[in-house]
Amino acid sequence: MLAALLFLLLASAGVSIYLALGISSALLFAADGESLSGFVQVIVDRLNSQTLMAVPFFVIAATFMRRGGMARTLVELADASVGGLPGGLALVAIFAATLFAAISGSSLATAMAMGTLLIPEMLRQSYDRKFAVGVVGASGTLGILIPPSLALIVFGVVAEQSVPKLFLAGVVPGLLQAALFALLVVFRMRNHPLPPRTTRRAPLRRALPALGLPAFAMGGIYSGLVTVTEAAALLAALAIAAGLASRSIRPGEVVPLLADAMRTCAGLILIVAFAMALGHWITISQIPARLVEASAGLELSAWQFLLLMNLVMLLLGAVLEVLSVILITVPIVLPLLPEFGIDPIHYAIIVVVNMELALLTPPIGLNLFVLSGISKAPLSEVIRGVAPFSIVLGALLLLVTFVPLLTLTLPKWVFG
Amino acid sequence: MERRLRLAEDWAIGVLALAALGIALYGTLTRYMLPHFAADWSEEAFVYAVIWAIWLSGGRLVVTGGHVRSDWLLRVLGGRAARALEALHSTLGFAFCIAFCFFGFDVVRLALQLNERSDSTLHFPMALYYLAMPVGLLLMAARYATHLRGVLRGQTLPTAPLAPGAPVEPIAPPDPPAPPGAESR
Repeated sequence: MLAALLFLLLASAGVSIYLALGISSALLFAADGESLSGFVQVIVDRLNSQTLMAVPFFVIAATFMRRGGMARTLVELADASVGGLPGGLALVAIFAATLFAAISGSSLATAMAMGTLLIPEMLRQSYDRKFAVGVVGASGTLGILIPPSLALIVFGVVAEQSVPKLFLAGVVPGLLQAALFALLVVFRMRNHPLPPRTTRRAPLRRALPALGLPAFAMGGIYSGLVTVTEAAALLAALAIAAGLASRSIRPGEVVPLLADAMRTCAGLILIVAFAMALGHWITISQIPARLVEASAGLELSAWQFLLLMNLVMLLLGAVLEVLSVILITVPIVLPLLPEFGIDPIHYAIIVVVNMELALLTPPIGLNLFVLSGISKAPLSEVIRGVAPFSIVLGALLLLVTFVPLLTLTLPKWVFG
Repeated sequence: MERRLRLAEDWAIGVLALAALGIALYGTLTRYMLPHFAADWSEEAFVYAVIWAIWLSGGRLVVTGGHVRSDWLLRVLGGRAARALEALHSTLGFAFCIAFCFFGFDVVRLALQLNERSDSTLHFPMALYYLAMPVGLLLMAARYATHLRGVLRGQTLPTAPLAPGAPVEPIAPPDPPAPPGAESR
């Protein structure tokens, strides 16, 4: 308890999350009389994971695809497809974010890429700035739900669940989220004059590499030919090759861009490393077993338990960043799931949708900061802009929580 | 000095990432196309290369404020209070990295003593893999010390923290301005 308070205190005082986790978990190890060399050994052993390596490879792929101009081709394709409908550019943002999410695996990267490309144009077409940042910020959250999702890879590693199954489980809720956002946009923009079409010719041909490469990687995974990590490596290699072939990336830029991608990953993997040590302590200290006993005494039903967990995650998500919430709560909650008959794959998607909401919730919702930075809008305006989308996301969370079919049908259909 | 260190880090990290990618591809492609040349060590080798690259990246993240963190309190407080918090952060970071650098080298020493090697035909010395963590922590400690000195001398506070997914130092920037916040995904 003291360690949890210390972590929250350090994290909210601006101490790096990896450091706050490291200090708190090291103190827990020391308080239990465990050697701190053992603490280091746990970290290096847990990092020695082939599945976790999918994260850097996907980030490399996303870095080169963004640098190679693939985000722009996806926006052009989206514009040609839905740009003529009411609220055209807002729909383009949702459609393009859905496509880009299949490349990036990251909500932040999706929001940044879409925001940079679309917000200036939306403002030029006299879209309300609050609405523009709202739709782009909210659509950006799709990055962690639509496969490949870095958050789902980390969940899979921590919970020892099949990453391909987790990816599939995110597809229907992801598409449903995009559809719900699109409906909201059409409703809000029904009286907005149709914007001029900016793209008309052959966008599909130009967008083929951006669409084809992730499809190729996913095809490899679900045909059983390659593991998630190998697919990520293939995707990264193809993204580099495509960038070089199109001459949007010069050969001399490859190594610096790789270093840049690895640094992006390092911020994430270091958090995972120290959180894994914390997870190890949680397991050996028998906390989950005690929680299972305690929960039996509470006589909660599955839906009450899920509702409770949603509330806990919403609260944690407001003050912590996404990975910390996953890494801290999953080792504790996972042993409870069989008691309530909840499938871990279903729970994973509930966690991720919660984290999407967290991305839009102040004070730590980073998508808010990203959009504020891009649009120069005050944070309060961005918060008001995303509010209607947060409500829709809340409704989706309830749907995903109480209708497991939405998440489990596709994995069961593919994997039996 | 800092510039040279950055350049060396960039190249070391980039080359390690390239090597990891090459090994992963070699392992995947040979398994299907040239099984005769397939290696049982490819999976562990690319893990080692990536982990080395990750730990080597930590130091630069200290300099650029790239370690994920929440800076809302710093922004709310501002001025001397924010500077004091930043100094506390750097001191904690320095002390933590030095302490765990020590424990990390202890793990390396033990692996060397036991001649711990991987199970594959590569028989990779595990001490070399374990060494990545203390070396990375040492680089981070050095950067925390430099940063602390800057904060105490009243130099500009670090750049806004970025999250994974955000380019830390865009090399060719069509990228947007850095978000003043913290998150992970």
